[in-house]
Amino acid sequence: MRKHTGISMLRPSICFFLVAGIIWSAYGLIDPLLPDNGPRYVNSIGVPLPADALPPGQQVLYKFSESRPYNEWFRTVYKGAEGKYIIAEPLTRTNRNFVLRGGAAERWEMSDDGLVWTFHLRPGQQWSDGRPLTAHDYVFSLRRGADPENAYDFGWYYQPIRNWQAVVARKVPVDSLGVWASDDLTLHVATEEPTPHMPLLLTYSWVSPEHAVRKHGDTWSTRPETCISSGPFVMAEWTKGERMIYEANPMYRGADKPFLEKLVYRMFNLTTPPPRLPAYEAGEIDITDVENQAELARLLSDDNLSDQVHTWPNFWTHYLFFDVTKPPFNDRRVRLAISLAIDRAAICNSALRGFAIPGYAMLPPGFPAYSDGIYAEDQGYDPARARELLAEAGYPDGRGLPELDMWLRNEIAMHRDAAEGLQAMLNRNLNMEVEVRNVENKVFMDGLNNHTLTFGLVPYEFDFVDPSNLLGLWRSNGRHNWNNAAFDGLMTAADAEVRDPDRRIALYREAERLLVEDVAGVFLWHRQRAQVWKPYLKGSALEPNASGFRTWRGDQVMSSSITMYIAGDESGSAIPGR
Amino acid sequence: MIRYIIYRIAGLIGVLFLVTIITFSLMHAVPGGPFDEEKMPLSAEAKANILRKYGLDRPLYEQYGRYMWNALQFDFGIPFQSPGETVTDLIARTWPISMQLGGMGLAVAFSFGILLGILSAIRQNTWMDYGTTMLATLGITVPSFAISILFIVIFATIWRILPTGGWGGPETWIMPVIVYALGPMAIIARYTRSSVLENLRMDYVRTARAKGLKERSVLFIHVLKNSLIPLLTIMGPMLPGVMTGSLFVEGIFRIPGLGQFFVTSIFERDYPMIMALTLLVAVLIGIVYLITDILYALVDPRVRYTRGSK
Amino acid sequence: MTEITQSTGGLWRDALRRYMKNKLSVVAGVIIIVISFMAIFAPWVSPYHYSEANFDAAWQFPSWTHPMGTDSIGRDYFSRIVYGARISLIVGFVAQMISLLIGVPLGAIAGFKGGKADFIVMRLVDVMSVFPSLLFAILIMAWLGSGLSNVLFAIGVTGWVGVCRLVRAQFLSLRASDFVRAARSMGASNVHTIVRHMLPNALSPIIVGLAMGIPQAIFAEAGLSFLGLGINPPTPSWGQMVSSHLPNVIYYWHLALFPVFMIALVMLGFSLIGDGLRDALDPRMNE
Repeated sequence: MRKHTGISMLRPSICFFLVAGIIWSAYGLIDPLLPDNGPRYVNSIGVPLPADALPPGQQVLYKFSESRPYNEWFRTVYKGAEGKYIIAEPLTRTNRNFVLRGGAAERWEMSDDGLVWTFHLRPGQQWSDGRPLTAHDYVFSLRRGADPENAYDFGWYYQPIRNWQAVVARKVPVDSLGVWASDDLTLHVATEEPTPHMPLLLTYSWVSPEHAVRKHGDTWSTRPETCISSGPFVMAEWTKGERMIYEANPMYRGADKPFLEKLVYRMFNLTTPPPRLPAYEAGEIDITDVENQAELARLLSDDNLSDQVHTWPNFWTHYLFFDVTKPPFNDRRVRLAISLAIDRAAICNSALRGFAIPGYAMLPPGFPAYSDGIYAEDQGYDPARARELLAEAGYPDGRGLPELDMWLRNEIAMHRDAAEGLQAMLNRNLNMEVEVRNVENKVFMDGLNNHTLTFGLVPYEFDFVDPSNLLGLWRSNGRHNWNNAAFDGLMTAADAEVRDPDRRIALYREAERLLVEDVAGVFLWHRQRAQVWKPYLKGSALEPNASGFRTWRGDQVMSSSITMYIAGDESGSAIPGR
Repeated sequence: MIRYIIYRIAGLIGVLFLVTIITFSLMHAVPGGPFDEEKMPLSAEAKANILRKYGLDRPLYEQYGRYMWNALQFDFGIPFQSPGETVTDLIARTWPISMQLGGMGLAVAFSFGILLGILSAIRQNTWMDYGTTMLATLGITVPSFAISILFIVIFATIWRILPTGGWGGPETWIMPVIVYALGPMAIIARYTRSSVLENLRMDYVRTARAKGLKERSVLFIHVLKNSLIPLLTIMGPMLPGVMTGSLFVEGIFRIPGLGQFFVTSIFERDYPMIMALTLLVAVLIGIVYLITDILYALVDPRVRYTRGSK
Repeated sequence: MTEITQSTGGLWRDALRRYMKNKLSVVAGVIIIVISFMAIFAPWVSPYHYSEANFDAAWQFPSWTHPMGTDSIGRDYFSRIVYGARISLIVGFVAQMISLLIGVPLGAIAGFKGGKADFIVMRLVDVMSVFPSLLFAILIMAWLGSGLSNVLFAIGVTGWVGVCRLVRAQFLSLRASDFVRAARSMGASNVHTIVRHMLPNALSPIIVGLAMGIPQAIFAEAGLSFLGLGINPPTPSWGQMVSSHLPNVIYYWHLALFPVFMIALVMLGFSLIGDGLRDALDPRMNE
């Protein structure tokens, strides 16, 4: 009896191995005969997957994401979760070379006076509940952004739109905003001044569904039942503080259908973030940021992991700012002396090793109107000249200088260390006593916006790839109190130059020259970011773009979670550990 | 006793009232506001819109009055950092998780802490004593975030037997609970040790021994009972803190508990949330102290309360 | 009067003799003394100045020239550890002293006197102790800004409540004990009873609390540093070094390990000293 059982147990497994072996060898024989590049699978929304992709059931991407309360772009930007970019279709998008292309709008044109833009929407687009996506939704969304009752936190961005500021200030009613629809597929956007980068600005037009907002109020985006989507993905689950799950949107009719079936965001809290690399190595997430030098060094020292590291510049500039109305910083020579006393390369090789490149102007390499590093010569490291300048300004050997506070905005350890490096350099080269004060965000912004900070180190990360963005913050009465009429004039002229893109770029270069030569700020470095991607992640984002950047802005939907997919190894089988 | 309890509760209400006033003044004295711009300055009008929307354009005394009036009706407002829900919703969603973590942590801490404490006391100045002291010291000394990272690297990345974080089944509880328990365990062990040692030298122990009682019964019946008193004093203040979560443990293990909000609320200038959390903890601590004092009277007959413990 | 002084002197001499018998506590005492010397004579002990940056020598592992390696801007880590002892010990001692100076007298009065005095002190304690201490410390730091004196204030002002409750509880139970009753029935004054009879008997939990409290204050400073509310750079404190460099432990291990080790050492030292003192000072101890 016992023996018999043994055999009968053995037999099916032998049979299984036999059959499996036969299938395996047959597969091996047939496989080369199959066409090489033909799609093996089609995902649930009808997109043929690349030849090396795993079956749709395994097209799931895991990553960490910061816990935030809302999920709608036009409700709030800074309190909006990452999902807001993938559940809504913007009017326009940029491609990986930062060239504008269509989104919900397939084409657009400018009026002769340059003041009105007309966008033609792709017909047949719809929300995930089956309602058509129309120009009226965009009118509603932009009005929502300007509506004083909505108290939007990103309002400054849309100020070129006609009547925007007047609506915000309650001087005119919301419906007088310069945005209207002449029919379901035609949207008009009027501007106060000619604004050639208007279509580029509208890459940030992740539309809100008018009918859902009216029905469910501000919290429509926080529950899968009411969170309808016009974008490539749709929310399937949101367990607050734990995870968010998005699935490919079957109702999506836009141009950017994803390969991925599912995105799983594991939520975390930014105040005390979890260690991410261990979770990546444990296979719990497929993609993550590299946060510090130890992680980078560890990854690069491991043969298995070093290929998974991707770095790219982030169009992010750290600079020293001054209160230029007060001594000693009202003297350009003092500001220049500080610039010359800083060895940017040394900082970038030590505290910021692997995470920054030296910078000498506001615009980073690869950005339109980049200055090709021409200021490195005049504002590069020259401590002797710096001391001379300081002496000329009346502070020989640093005598007579007040004790200075260098304010930092809640910086990460790496940038705090860099600031201490600056502190050491200023002390060594100029005999300047500087105290580094890293304060929390609110305290810093309170001081910055009220111009009560005399000296500090602060970054600016780009919002859109146009010089009007990064240079615009230096306009008079803006973020800093360096007020320069010539600079303003050049910026206004450039912003309004709608006909001649080359002249526009030249004007911005000229504006930046004024900025740098007057040392409105000391520009120090441009940040680089690094991410690790599992080797089974494939997609066009991994190929270099025109500037040679791979995985630029990594996993953000603006570039690549649409083209990303999960590939198998050569035999097409699943990756171990998944 | 009843009169005493009523008397104490009345005192507690007075204390809570003072606490709200102090917190309210202090949080408005901190520079910065909940809707300060992150990047570019907003126009004055846009900023005024935001302040008006949340009633922050009113004078402070009016804001305070309105808050207290609503709070008395159990309306604690809307958290600025998570405006899609009410403060009550947010606490109801996150607190049970922290309580679960804290409860498990405390259970572990007490069982092992008392055990270690007794062991090192009755084996004073042996390797057992020194080992326990070392262990207890490590528990308090090495920061919980350091231990957490060590645990994650060992158990999740290298051995892959536990997940790095999250809050689901028992496998996600193990690491955070242990990390969470280490600190309190160390403190409990040390207090137990010193308290047991002290009691062992008391006259009544000598008397008991002289009467020929077994060492074990002396220890468990007399010494332990009396040693529990100082433990009660330290357990009291520990409880509310433990039950409302830990910023570091919850953050590092991605546990959606209440702990993080004690810090984010201040960083975000989330006034309703700061007030609610202070009140919550204040009520908890108040109740715990009340209970501790009552228990104290029950356990230790030497302490008797009439009104105001005269 | 002379009799009291003599007997007190004898008490302390006995205590010292008993303390010296405990080898671990002696070792701990030596460790703390060494670290204190290190802190006081930091400029002579450390090979470099704590803020001297050598950018070409950043991120170095321990070697003969830099026994604890260098940090991210090439500062000698050993020198920073040595100077860090200063800040950390100051934070530990001063914050704890603030707590004791407020907590012990208030607790003693409340526990001894009872009645109105107890009521007032306990309401004060209630108000202070019902504040979540982390929240309160962060609020104070956010209000006052970073810096050493503010850190001391924030930690000290939230720390005295525990001491006060502890002392009060001890006094409450001691007040009912036979020897205090005896002393009072013999007509001893209140001050005499408190100082001569009760305080020595309440000393051991205070000392244990102190031994725990000093490293906890050092830690509280680390926590505040972790949240960006600590002491201003480049002045090094161990807490700040831990919080800055902890994430580096997975490769540049020395940057996280040494400050953690030093904090652990100091804490161990104070704990063992506390144990030794407790045993030595206990008047009921015979052997």
